[in-house]
Parts: sequence; C-alpha cells; structure tokens
Amino acid sequence: MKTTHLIIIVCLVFVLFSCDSKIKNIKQLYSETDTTEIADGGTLVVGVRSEPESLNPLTALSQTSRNIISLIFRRLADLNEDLATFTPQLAKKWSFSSDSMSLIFHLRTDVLWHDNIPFTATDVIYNYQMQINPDVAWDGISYKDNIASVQSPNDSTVIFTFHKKSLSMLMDAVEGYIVPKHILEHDPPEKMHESSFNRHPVGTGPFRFLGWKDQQTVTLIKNSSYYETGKPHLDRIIFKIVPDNLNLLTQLKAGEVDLVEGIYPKDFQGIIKNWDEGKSSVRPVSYVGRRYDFIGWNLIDPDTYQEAIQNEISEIKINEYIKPNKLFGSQKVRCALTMAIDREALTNAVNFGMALTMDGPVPPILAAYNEDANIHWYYDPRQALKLLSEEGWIDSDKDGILDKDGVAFEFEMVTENGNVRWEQVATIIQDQLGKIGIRVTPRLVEPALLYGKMLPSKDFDAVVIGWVVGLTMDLAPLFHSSSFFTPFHFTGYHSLRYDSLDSASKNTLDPKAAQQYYNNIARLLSYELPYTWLYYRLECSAIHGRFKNVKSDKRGMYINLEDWWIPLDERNRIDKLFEG
Amino acid sequence: MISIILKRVLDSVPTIIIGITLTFLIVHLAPGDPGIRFLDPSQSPEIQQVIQKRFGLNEPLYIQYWNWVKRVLFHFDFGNSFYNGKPSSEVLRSALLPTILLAGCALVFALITGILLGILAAIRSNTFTDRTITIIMMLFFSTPAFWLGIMFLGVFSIQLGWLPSSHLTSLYHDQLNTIGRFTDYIKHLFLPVLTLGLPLAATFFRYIRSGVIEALRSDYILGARARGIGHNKILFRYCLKNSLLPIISLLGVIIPALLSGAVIVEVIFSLPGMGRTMVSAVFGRDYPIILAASILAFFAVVAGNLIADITYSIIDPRIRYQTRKNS
Repeated sequence: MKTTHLIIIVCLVFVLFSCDSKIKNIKQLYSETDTTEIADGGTLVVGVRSEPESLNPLTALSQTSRNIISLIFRRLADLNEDLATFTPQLAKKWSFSSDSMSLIFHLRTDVLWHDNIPFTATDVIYNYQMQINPDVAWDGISYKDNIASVQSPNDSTVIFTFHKKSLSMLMDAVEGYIVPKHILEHDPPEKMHESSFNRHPVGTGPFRFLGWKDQQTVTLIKNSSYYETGKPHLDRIIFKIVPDNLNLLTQLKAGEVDLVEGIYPKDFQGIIKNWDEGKSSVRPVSYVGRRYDFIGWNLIDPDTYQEAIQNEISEIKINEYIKPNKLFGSQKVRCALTMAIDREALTNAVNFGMALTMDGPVPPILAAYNEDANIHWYYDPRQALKLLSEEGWIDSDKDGILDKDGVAFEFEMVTENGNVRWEQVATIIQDQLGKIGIRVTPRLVEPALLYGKMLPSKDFDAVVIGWVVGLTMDLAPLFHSSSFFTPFHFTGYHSLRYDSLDSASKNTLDPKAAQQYYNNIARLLSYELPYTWLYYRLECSAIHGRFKNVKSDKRGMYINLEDWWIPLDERNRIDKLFEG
Repeated sequence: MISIILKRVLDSVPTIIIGITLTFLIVHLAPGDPGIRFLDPSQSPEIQQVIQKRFGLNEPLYIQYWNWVKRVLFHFDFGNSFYNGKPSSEVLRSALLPTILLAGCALVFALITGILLGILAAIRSNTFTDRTITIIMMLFFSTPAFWLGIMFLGVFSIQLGWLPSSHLTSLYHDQLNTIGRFTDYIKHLFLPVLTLGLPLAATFFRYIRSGVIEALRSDYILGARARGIGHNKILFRYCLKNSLLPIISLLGVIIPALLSGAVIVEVIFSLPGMGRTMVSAVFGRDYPIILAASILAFFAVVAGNLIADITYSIIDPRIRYQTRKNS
C-alpha cells in the first residue's frame, strides 16, 4: 500500500514539474520580442457579444458594427493618438486656401473599391451629400454643420468650404468613412437603412467583406489590392457572435476566439494573474478608453418642465417658467451629496481597480483635459452635513432622515436594469448617503423606458448611467441652453456663463485661448455639479499572445490591425485549416 | 377529416386576431421610444422626427394599427426590422430553421427516451431499475434548463473538451467534406438537444410509465393474456397505444413550450434562432419583429393543438365519431 502511495506521489510531482516547465514555455513563447521576419497569413477570431446591425457607415450605430466597418472602409485621413494631428489615408495631402476658409484635399489615385472600381472625388461628394441628408439620419451629422459646400474640380481633388474658421475644420471634413457612390446611388436616402449594401459592404479598406451567417459569424478576408503595399498581413478575420459572457470567456481561454473586448474588470484581473504567472497564452490589454459613469441630478422641477413643454416656451425663458428641483436645485446640496460619497472607494469596489476617479466634465483622453482645472470635492461626510444644515436640511423629527419644511430628504436613484456595475454603484450610494440621513431608493429601469421616456421628460430624481465620449471636445449637447429640450440634456442645467464659454471655445482659432476656455468650463461645471462625475473606465481586452505588433490606445483595439501578424510556428488549427 | 380540420382552423381565426391586436397594443403602449437608440446626444431634434417618421411612429396608434393590418393582409408585408432594416419575414425565416432543427431534434429525442424508459420502468415496476430511472428522470424534470445547459457546457465542453460550446457549425465548417459537415452539425447540436430534450423526456416518461402500469393492471389486458396473446403484442399494441393518448394531447402544449425553452438554450449555446431574435427584438422595441414573431407563435399554438386533435382522432376513432355526432 505504501509503495502505491509513493508511486502516486512521484507521479504527481512529475506532473506538477511537467506543468511548470510548460508554463515557463508559454510565457517565454509569447513574451519574446518580435525579431523574426513578418509572415503573412493566419486568422484572427474576434469574439463579440452582439450581432452588428449594419455594415454601412451611414447607418451603423453599435460598437461591433463600427469595429468591423473600420476594417472595410477608409476615411480621407485618420486621427492620430494625440487627437490633434492626422495621418493621410484616401487623401494623400491637404492644404488650406489663402483665406483659410477652404480645405483642399488631394486624393490618392491608386485606390480601388473592393469591386475593382476606382475611388474618385465623386465618391467624397456623394458621401457629404448623404451625411448631411436628414433622411439618412447619419449619427455624425453635427460634424458637418460648419461645412458650406464640397466641390471637386477634378477626379483627384476635393474642396471643402466652411461657414466660419474653427480649430476643428480638418476634423469636420474628414469625419466619416467613405462609401461607394456607384453602388449606393441607386438607393434613395430615406431607404438607406434598408439597403442591401448594409449587409454586403464594399469599401476601400485593408479587409473585404466575405460573408455573414445570421447570429453566428461575419467574415472578412484580406484585400490584396489594398493601397498600402504589403498589408494587411492576416488573411482572414472572423467575428464570432457569442452573446453569453461566460461562454465567451471560456472560448477565449480555450483558444476558440483570439480577441475579446469589454471584459468585466473582475474577470480581467484573473486574465492578468494567469498571464503574469505564465499559466495562459491570453495576453491582457488595457488602455484608457472612452467611457465614464456619473450621477445625473435633476436640477429642475419636473412638473414645471412639463408645463413649459406644453406652452412651447423657448430656451431664453427657462428661468421664468421652470422652478428649481426642491432637492437638487441648490448647488450647495449637490456639493454636499458629492462630498458624502466616497468616490475612490466606490470606483475601486465596482471596477476592481480598472478605473480612474473623475472630478470634472473633460475626459482625460482629450487634449483639452487639465486635471488642475477641476474643483475637487473630497470625501468629507461631516462637511457634507454642515453644508446641508446651512441649506436647512436637518433631522428635526429625529427619525434618522434629514428634513426641511416637513419634507424628508429622500429620492429615487434610477439606473439601467441589467447593468450590474451601475446597480452596484446605486447600492453603494444608497449606503453612503444613508449614513448622513438621506434615504435613497435604487430603482432599476428597462433601457427603453429610461432613455425613451424618463430622462427625455426629465421625470426622475437622480440617475446613474455613463457616456461614451467622442474624440472631440463638445459638451454642448449635455449642458448648453440651446439643447435644453433635447433628450440627452436631462439634468435641466442652464447657465449663461457656460453658454458664453462654450461659444467662445468654438469660435477661437487660438489653441491656447481655447484651452483657457476649456479650463473655465471644467472649473464651472465641476463647481456647479449638474453631474457628480464618478470614474473614467479603463478598457479591458485580451488577445492571444501569438498575435504580434498589436497596438491599442484611446482610439481602440483596431487602430493598426493591418500590421498584426502571426509567426509561422505559432499558427493554430484554424489557421492551418483555412490555409490548407 | 377535412371538415374537422377546416372547422378547427376557422375556430382559431378569432383567437389569432385578438391575440395579435393585443400584442400590437401592448408593445406600442409600453413606455419607451424605439427610436431613442438611433439618437446621439449631438443630433438635432429634427433627426428624431425623421426616425419617428421612418418607423411610422408619428401617426396616431389606430392609424399605425390599420396601416400594419393592411400591409399584412393585402401585401403579406410584416414591415422591416427597426434594428437592421431587414424584412421581418426574412429575419424570421433565417431564425426559424435553426429553432425548428433544435426543437424537432429535442422532441424526437424526448419522445424516444421518454417512451422507452417509461415502458421499461412500467414493466419493471417497483424494482431497483424502476426506482433508479424514476429518480433520474425526476431530477431532469425538476432541473431548470439554463442550469442543465450550463452544467453540460462546464463538463463536456470546458472540462472534458469533448463537444463544442457554441454555434450551429464550426468556423471551418465550409472546409469540411459532406460527412465532416454532418458530424459537425451533430457535435454542435448534441448538448443543446440534450438540454432541451431531457426535461421533456422526463415529462413524457411520467405519463408513459403511469399509463402503461395502469393498462397492465386493467381487465382487458387480463382478458388478452387469458386469450394467449403474446407479451410484446400486449405491451406495444394495447398498453402503449392507450398510454400515448395523453402524450398526444400534451403535444399541443409542448410545441409552444419548446419554442420558449429554445430561448434559453439558444442564448447559453450561442445558437442562432427564434429565441435570440425574439429576446433582442423585445429589448430593442423592434415592433415589426415582435409582431411577426407573435403571429408565428400564435400559429404554432394553433397548429400544435390542431395536430394533437387530428392525431388523437386517428388513434382513437371514438373522438372522430363523437365530433361528427356533435356537428
């Protein structure tokens, strides 16, 4: 019996050591610096949670669609990591006219659509016409507000003329992927969302569309006629739709998918641990992304807002008609609520360290971001109570809840049903505000009801949600009086000072002066607190270690996919099956 | 027989009309705006109006309903999906085939397993075999499908790696030969069919077991035995035929239940199908898809009951006779 035990122990030790040497091999294999020669071929399998709704840049909205589109189509120029300069793409160079009111783009003449028709200036003009057509309802239409006209003197030159000079003229001109006129001109603009092109796209990018199996996969293959010679290196990209998160992570670990984005921070910590310990070939990738979460306070009285809507009053009469919210109408109260929330603890608790605490409205990825411009409201419940008592909120009836004129300080905090992180945030805030005598009731609401009714009609007390920010600085849709009656301006914030700062920042041509305006905007909003900004999230992605030259930054994971490659000795079964 | 079918079909028309009208009202009156997902904070209110107009949501509800009824009745057009612009009929057609495949395989598996084990347990009534089978089947009967699916996934796909964890086919399905493709389908369908089929098999098992036991104890079986009829003939010709009657009436309920069960299985195993289509349509307020799928579901219920009635009357001629007599 003892001999049997000994044999088992020896075997176990052997197995453990074998595993350890294998672990070291994995780590060494995928941690090596790229010294070998770049090899073409191979397949990337990307795991995505939802099916793209359209692969037409004019109608697509979801992130999955946009990611796929970024590989099929090209813009005139791509924004660089500094978010200020651009790299030529379909335009080889550009220059301003002598009066600086026009931008002249010189297009590449060696670009072919995936159906081998040459790309020309007429495509660019058609794109502009479609982008500004309200019937198409392109989601980037506001970028084109300042453009007066687009003309083409010849097939390789396009001239954008602007209404007024601004710092964002180049960005405004190049925003939007270019679609082929020769295919889409047959579809009327009002039927663009039903066009067959949406599921059979033809672009000019490094990968061309191959096939779409409903609810299963979207496949792209290498565009051999891509204008950047020698690229892309990968032969095929398959977007595999796996709605169940657990299943998706399992497939990532098993090597059935190579790349997954938007991993929950808790799961991401496990991936980091396994990679660091050399137990897994899945490499964690994180970068400062474009999402932040906040609490939005309703600054106005919902009843008077409804009356204002019925009477169709204009923005300039807001103060006359609309009363402030009885709880959150006061800046001091919002400040006290912000100070009563331990945002650092909250950030770490719900994000497992994968987020940065945020104090003001300018996202840290933008060049306009200046941490010193924000007013920092540190966690201080005592000071919060003092501020509330100055506003008349005291526990006069000794029931543990603050009150004023017989009204208890209690409110509902709504959030999106199904978003676990926001549900946790609301629960933590309920606990923290409860400690200073404020009764918060978290309420989980279905997204269509929250965004389709409650927020647009300003019929809520406080809301916990998040935004995905664009790559340009524009807070007007959220805080400017001109957008007061639009669905996303739900806090009811209105300030003449903000309006003038916003306009001034957009009208100046001096970057330094613009920065000064942005600083003042940050200071004003972080003082007035229409939102209590909570945290800025880090994007958590993971990719199999065999993919080389993978770069990612605030613009996303797909910024240089045409440069990714797989060493020949690291090709897997799927690579070989497709090659064979 | 044809008159019975026609009568049943005509009887079901008001049910379908009322059901569809109620569904239309419920989805349209539910708070929330399907157009909101198309809006970006930087877009103007005019774009919102364009989107409302695009989906026909700017009209009063009764006009929306009338337009929809006209389109469906006179043009057989169920409208285009708000989400991806595809015609609803096309969306449902591509989603229906995998669901029929999954539900059909699960039904066949459940019938075979339930009937065979039911007979085995009945003829070995109150023995170790009977008790073991009954306990196992009770476990499957009381286990929720989502739990069963996750367990199968964990054991057979993740731990053992024997079977694929998602989709109807492998990524390299098109690269395989005919036999390879067939095997590929079987491998991918095995766990989902098991997840959907086992609780159903347990349901059938209960009916068959008790039906066969009851029949074996009845006087007409005793009489048959006394006349020297063989055991197998008694079992399959007389006992089983009578025990199948409740199963047939159960089919009318089972078919819609299979479709709803497929929702969970399709999500767990990332299978394409009606379940996933319906869930995403409901969450996205995709009215055309919800309504078209509802019509299909109503038809499935009616068809299920109709099939049950017809089969019932074939197996038990007394029913046919009674119906004729009543009419």
